[in-house]
Amino acid sequence: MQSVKRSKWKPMLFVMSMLALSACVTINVYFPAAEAQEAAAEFVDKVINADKAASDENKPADPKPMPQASRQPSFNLMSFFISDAAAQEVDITIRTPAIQAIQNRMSERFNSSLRQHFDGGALGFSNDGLIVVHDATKVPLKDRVTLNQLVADDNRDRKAVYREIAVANGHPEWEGQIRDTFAKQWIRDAKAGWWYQSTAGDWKQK
Amino acid sequence: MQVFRHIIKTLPLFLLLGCGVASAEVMTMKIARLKAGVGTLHNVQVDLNWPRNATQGELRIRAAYLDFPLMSYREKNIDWQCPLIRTSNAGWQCKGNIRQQGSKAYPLALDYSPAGTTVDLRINDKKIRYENSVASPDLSRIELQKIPVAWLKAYLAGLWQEGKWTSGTIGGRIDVIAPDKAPFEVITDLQLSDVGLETPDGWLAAAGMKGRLRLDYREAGQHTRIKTRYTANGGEFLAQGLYVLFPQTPVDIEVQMNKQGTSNWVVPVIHWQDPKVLNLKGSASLDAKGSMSDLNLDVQLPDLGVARDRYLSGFLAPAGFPDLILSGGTRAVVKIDDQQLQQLDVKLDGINVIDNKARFTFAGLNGDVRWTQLADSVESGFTWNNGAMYGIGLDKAQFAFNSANGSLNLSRAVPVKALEGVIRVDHFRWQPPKGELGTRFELGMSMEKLDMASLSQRLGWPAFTGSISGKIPNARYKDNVLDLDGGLRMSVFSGEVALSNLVMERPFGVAPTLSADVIMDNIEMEPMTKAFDFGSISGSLDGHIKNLRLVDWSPVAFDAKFYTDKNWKGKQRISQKAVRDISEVGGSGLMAGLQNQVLKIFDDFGYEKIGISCKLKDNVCAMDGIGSAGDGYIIVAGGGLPRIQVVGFRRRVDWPTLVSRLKAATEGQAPVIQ
Repeated sequence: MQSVKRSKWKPMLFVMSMLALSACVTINVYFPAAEAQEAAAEFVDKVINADKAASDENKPADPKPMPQASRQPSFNLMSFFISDAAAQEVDITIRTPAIQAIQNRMSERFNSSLRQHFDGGALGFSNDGLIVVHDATKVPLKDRVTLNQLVADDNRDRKAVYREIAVANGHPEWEGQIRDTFAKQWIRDAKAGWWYQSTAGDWKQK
Repeated sequence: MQVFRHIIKTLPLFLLLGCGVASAEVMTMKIARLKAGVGTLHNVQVDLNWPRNATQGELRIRAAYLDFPLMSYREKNIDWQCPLIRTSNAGWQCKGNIRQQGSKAYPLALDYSPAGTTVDLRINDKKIRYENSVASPDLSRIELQKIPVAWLKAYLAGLWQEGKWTSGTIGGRIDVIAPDKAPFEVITDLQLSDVGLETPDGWLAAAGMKGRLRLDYREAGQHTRIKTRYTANGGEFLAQGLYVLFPQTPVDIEVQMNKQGTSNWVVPVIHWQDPKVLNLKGSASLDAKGSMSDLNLDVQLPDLGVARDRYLSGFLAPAGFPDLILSGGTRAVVKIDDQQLQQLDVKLDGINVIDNKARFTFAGLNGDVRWTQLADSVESGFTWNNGAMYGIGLDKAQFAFNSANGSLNLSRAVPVKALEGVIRVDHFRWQPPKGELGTRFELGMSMEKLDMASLSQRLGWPAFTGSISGKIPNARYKDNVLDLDGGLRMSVFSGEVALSNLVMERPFGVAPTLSADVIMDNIEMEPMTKAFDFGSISGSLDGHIKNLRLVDWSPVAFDAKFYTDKNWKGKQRISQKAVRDISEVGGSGLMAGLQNQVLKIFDDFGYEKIGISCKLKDNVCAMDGIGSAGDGYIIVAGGGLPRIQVVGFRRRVDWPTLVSRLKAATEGQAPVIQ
């Protein structure tokens, strides 16, 4: 799905960069909700679904990282006629080294320790894209300090990811919307029995 | 055991009746409600079957309800059956099994003599004993031996409603003194063994608690006093952020609480004594909701190395410093009035702090920091022997502070020798949260002649030479973002690099970032290309890197443009190796405008202009040069003869590839030109 998506957007990216170079068209960019959700789904999937993530990691993210780089570009007059509406659409990338590094760390943390606490009911997804200790009594005391640390570490990573995705896509002001999109995605991908916080703020079990 | 107390309170009455009707064979008595002292029995039925001329009778006491409001104890369907015999000392004894609703039968023994009453309940090695003597009728003594906390749930819940006791056993003594007119008192001296407890909301939990608990509850009219003294010998304890790992050596904790009528609780005594590790003395008062309103604390931590694991890990780990290495000692005096911090004095006594991720290190922190909300200024100051931040060594420094009206200010500028130059902290101001306002923090600093070569080495950069100077008149830290006004100027290769709009996010956190705008002016290329072993180019370089953003100290985005300065008066030559290196960096998409064979004949070439730009985004560098040549863009425009032209064709280059090629070129690996 990844490669299909990429190739679909490749020409658009190229056109975008051409347009950026020509720098004579003002583009109003609206938050690309659908693309953001796709990006969030990909990210969350890799963190939560360990097995799939592991096989993803074994093969390179993209066999030809930048195929367009080897293409001899030719100036395309058509690019001037691309309508504003088409140019508005933006892909949301999560493939920067910083984001990938955080994602790998989160995935490892999730599968080595956080997952069991979601299964056990101690942890839950909050409605602001973070995780919280929903029921500390589910964890023996000796593990609680470690759990608090894991939650704090994970939330630091989460905040950094939402921020970096917004910035990497050139729109720091999207941070809040990216966070909301992710918040919904974490809950959407939560397994049965896991706790989450609804938009209204009350706790529910999936 | 409250059950027994009740039975005992009611039994003498019955026994007297029993004596009076000794000739009767069967006697049944029904009492709707029997109220005595501290509790009530409902629907009591007492049956005594004493066959004529027999030496013993059969006693059965049943009650539908036992209500013991003092300890929040209620029990249903109590049933006790025993053979009743007369003892030699003119008393009575009855030993039999007692059941509560649904429970197993436990042996209960009752002794009644003119001197007093004792009741024994035994199950294997567990023992509960109740004693009440005629000599002191108001004192009820309960002795416990290896009693699981689960049995005492009701009693303990009576002491503290939210507490859920999860494991362990309790032994010791509980004295209940309930005279009709004098103060009501409960004095306990209990031995806790492996006791665990928690609150449903999880804010407090304890496990494996071993120690001695002495609790003295006294209620005299309007005045209530609770004196608690706990001597811990191991166990662990978590209350919100505070995680305590008790050592095997005794730790003495004493808390006293008083309440007068409907006024709020005051806590005149808080005392925590862990010899050589923690010595805390203080007092507090609570508001109507039970949260802390006033607090006076004097905390001494003479050995932070040990205190870290016993008391500080609960704060350090969630803050992201779980393995912070600490040694030395500290003492803090804190005064909070009406939930507002009034005074904070922190003494530093030979503290060493080492971050295990090498983000910072400070050694030999000595002195004090004193902050006050009052108008009268207080002075303080501290020194460090040496330190380091991100590998950049900092020499000994001495800071002096003054504080008044809620702000802590640096008294005078502090020079710190670093990187063979000086970093000067010009001003500093810290204000803790007050009302709606969060923590405020301001900092101004300047740098004089920091050595670029040392910095490059520390940060693992290529070997730049030159120096850095600059002034940051104001730095603000808020919500994990450090904003720096002003900028830095670096003198490198006879030219100047200016950094402005410096912003750091999460400076000590996850994936720290640095954003800046960089302008370069008149960088001499000959020494630069030599330093980087990138052939040799003579001339001067200008350029900019706008919107530079580093994450984890690697660039993730920028808009960069470098070009030779047309005002350069000297020769403009580019060596054959430099041409090759440029070609190599550009990959096969780049080609020189001369046949390779011809290229090899000449050592260097004249050029008119060199320029390249790269706009980095999503790991792709969008490249351009100083003009177009067919499908490509010109990077080097030759001048004179033989004329050379280097043209790039790849406009989108994978950034990691570009970096590795640059590295290969500067590391002097021989490029291959086909």
